[in-house]
Amino acid sequence: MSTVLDIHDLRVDLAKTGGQISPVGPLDLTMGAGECLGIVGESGSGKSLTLKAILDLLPDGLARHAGHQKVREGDVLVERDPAALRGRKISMISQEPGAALDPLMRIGDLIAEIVRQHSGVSRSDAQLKAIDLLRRVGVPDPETRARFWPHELSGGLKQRVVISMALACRSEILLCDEPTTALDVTIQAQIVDLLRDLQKEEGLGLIFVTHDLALIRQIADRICIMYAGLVVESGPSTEIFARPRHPYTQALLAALPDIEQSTGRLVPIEGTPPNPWDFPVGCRFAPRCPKATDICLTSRPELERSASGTLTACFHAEGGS
Amino acid sequence: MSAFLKVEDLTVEFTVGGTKKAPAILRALRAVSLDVEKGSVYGIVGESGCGKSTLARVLSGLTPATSGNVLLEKRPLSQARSPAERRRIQMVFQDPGSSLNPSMSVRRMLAQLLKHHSIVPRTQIENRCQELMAQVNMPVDALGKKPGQLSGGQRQRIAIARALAMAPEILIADEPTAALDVSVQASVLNLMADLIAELGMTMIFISHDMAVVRRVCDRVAVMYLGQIVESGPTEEIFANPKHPYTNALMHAVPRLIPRAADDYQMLKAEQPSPLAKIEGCAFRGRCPKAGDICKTQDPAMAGSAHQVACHFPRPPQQEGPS
Amino acid sequence: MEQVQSTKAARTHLPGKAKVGFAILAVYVLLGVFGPILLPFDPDKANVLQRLKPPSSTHWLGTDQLGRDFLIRLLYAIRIDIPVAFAAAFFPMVIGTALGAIAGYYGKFTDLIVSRAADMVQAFPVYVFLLVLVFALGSGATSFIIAATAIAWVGYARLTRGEVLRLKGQEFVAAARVTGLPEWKTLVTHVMPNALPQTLIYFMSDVVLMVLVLSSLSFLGVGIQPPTAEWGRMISEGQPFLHSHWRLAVAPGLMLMVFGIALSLIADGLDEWFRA
Repeated sequence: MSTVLDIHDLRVDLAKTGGQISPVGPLDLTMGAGECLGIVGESGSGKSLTLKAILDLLPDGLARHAGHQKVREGDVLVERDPAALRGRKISMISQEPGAALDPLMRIGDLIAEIVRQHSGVSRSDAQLKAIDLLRRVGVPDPETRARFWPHELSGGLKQRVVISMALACRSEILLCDEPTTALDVTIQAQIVDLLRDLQKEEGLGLIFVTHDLALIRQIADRICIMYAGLVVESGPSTEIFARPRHPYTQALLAALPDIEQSTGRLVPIEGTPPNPWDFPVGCRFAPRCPKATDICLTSRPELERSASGTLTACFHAEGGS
Repeated sequence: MSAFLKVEDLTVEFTVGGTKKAPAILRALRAVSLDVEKGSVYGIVGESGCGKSTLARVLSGLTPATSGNVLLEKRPLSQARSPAERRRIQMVFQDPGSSLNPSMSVRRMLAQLLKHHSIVPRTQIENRCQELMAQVNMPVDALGKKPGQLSGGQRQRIAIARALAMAPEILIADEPTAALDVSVQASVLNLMADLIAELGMTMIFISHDMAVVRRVCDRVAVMYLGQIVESGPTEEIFANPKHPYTNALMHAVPRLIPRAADDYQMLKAEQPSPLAKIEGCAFRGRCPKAGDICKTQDPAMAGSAHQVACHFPRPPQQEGPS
Repeated sequence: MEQVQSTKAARTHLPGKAKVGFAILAVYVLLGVFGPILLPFDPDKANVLQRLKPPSSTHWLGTDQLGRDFLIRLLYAIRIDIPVAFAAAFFPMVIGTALGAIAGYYGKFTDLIVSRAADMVQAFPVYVFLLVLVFALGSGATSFIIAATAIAWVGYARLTRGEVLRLKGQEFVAAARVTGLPEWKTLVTHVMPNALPQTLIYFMSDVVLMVLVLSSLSFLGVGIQPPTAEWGRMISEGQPFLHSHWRLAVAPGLMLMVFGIALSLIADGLDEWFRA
């Protein structure tokens, strides 16, 4: 599978500290064509910031650094400035779809405007294309809905509209920052179904961030598990769920109430994740890890490849490398 | 079966605008009835707008009902609850960030309640506070802290301690773990399970998280647009959902191990507005099985232990999914 | 869902600017209390032979147009302006906050009455209203304070009402009700402590405003009467001498300005502190 995105040494620093405190990174991200890469972590893991860093959409006070960030253009991977990628090669949807919709524009006009920006067609053609896109994302009765104002739409419909805006940009990669967390589970199922459909039919690549492990199981081909700003384990989704090697991944799965099971005690993870200015020297999970030894407290483990293809950053990963 | 807590035809309607002649009425609860046995955990599931939070607020005395009754041990609870009535039913709220007063230390908050209700003599207040901390697995020094100094999971434990301070007979938990991370959720759920076993409390557990409900609850009621559409023993409901909506919910929840295929079709469309006047079954707009009768007749709850309100309930599956 | 949190230090330490503000305020208070004791001049007694003398070793800032030691008058003015301004902000705060809290929490009838009263007061142009009251009550510090209270309570009432309305919807207030706490206790022990920070910040800004209003009124001839030293009065009296002895008008103006800056710094600092 050809790589379409290659990011090396991505870091997010607290600007004031001049690189001393990094809530995220350093980490690497790579993505193949039409693939869904899942990034999973709890709150404070840095998963949302990672996504925002890809397009340099960080809030004030945070700065982005990267070794390199390359995208595929034609046959080669080319280094590109994040700002140049926004709304073109890479689009983003987030938890609050309403925030991305101008409340003073009808949604049809909103989409048509983007279509015109990216392909310079006439106004009426853009309107038709907008209705087409609404149909593509499963909005019922698109001709009528195109005349709606954003506030007249439900959460699920708003999210569909935002996805259609990304399609209008002809983006190849869609960054999804917890897009279904605020939606009902039946609507979430619809949106996930839509995204998978787009992935299959249009070859749209997805980077999907969530805290919901079961959800990521449904949608992602490859997964990265993040803890305290670093990737602790990554690999094919089926492999990670079948044979989790990092103690944190194992602990997460043990703490998860799966709907299949009705009994058995959930195993919580004691303690809380560290704050960026309190990151421990050595392995960041060590203070809470049942397998931690002396080396874990003094040196930070690097990601190492196992026989099955997963990368794990742990001195005591099961199965060895 | 003598129900400890009985809800009879509870209806809650809010006027949210419109004109005097044609007011816009939001029907949050529509003739909801349920029975809760003493010492059991009764789960209420549903998506946004189903009325489960309104139900919690009526049961805890925060919102008055438009009509219907809530009976505790066969005696109706008054709209304006007396302090004695309030003590018997307590609530744990969803968001630990906003359900604790940010400017009050834990000790002050608990002491205020213990003093106000004269639950223990003055000299015993500090002791009781420490006991409560132990009950929710918190260190004693947490008493001196303010909510801002505690983590989400710790705050939720304090919220539980507050509810327990009054030694209630019924605890209503309104999405108690929704705002918590998975790893923390586990410890709070374990705590609640332990407390239920130790104290023999009756609990009403409201959640949108089906996986959690399956573990914690003895009986479950599924709500849609202000009505209960199905209710019964938890295992029954999960193994053999009769209502098409319940079935859709079960399938929509992401699982770690994918489900075996069955007659499930993904729900199309979205919920109708709760302001709309509904003829017949409220679910028919999205139901894969809707027939003509569904347009005119609102189905009533039928069945004994496992009840469902549907004209075309699913028959029991041979190779039951999950 | 995720945020990079501010450091704990931000909440526990008062921001630098507030400390500077308090320091300046402290200097003023010390000058006002001890200055007149240390300097043996009478601020009110005129001595026409000594008028308009430049700064010397006896009169550090010279004398004013009536021969009174200028520095001592500036210091005595502190004794008028600061306490009166604080009082003129304090009474409206107490009354306005209480009314606003009750209106916001209990709503309906009380809210109707308080809000309409506030509307009526606000409908009048402030200075006109103030002047009318001062004329009716006579000049001097007491009438100024009464007049200010009659008008300024509105700001506090609206602010507190807004805060209380916002807090009323918070879950911890609902939780207090579920636990059986009576409404008044919930208002006093749970809602108000969270509403007060905003009031405090507003109070600081209000004191600055009161000093300016008092000075303006005295400048116009109402408010504090001669020969009592007061900054606004002194600016007015120094006006004819702007070309020759500009210090007579500028010095009290500077005192006023620095005092205002000090209180603004305190208000800003408190705002930052509470936000953290």
